[in-house]
Amino acid sequence: MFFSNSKKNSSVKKNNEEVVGFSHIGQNAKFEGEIDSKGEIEIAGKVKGNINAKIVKILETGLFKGKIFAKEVFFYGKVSGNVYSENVNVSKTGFVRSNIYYSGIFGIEDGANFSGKAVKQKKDQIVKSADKLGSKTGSVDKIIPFKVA
Amino acid sequence: MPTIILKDTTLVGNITEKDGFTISGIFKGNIKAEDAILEQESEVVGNIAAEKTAEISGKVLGDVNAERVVLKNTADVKGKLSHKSLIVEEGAKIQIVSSTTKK
Repeated sequence: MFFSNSKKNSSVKKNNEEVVGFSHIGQNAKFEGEIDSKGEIEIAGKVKGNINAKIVKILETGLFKGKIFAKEVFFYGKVSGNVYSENVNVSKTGFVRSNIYYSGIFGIEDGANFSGKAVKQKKDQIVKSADKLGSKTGSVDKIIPFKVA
Repeated sequence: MPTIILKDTTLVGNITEKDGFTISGIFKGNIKAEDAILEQESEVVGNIAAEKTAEISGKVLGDVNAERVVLKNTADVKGKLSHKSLIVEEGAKIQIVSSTTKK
């Protein structure tokens, strides 16, 4: 079949090699849908949907609407929607309209525009609430990519 | 900066990019970009529309519409192609219906 070897190949490669660098959604890009990454993702364009990644950065030109499940989150741009992450950082250029559920550190820089709840929770509670909201992976630690049917 | 998706990343949805779009991960959905570069480890299920060049070295299941379509030797493409010029390297796996549009 067309994709018959793909799963075997990709899983072997993913185990052996670690990806260096980060994925980037460009300034002129518009994306709607789910993003699932084992590493870092940077958003400079417009994105609507959910993100599941280790590190998420919404850059100054970035505009994001949706839920974020991550270990590390940096906001330099505009964000709305719930955030579930160990550590969350809002920069002075950040414009955030979100409820933030974190287990580690939540930082807001002087000058940041933030409106919403910031709730410190235990790590497993964050995973649970992520589960409730229908996160595809259900775990902040384990990030499993979608299967291509 | 154009969009770059690494192989540890999976996207499900549609993307519209005015610059280049490079992917070595998995993408399920439609891609619209100026240039689309699909690297060797990429897997795309969906249609690709590129204004200029679509360079494919990975797997594609879907239609490709571009001014210039380049299928590299590692490409594995199944779908309809529409282009002004088409290049197929030796070794490319193809199962395509191809049509050249007017210049």
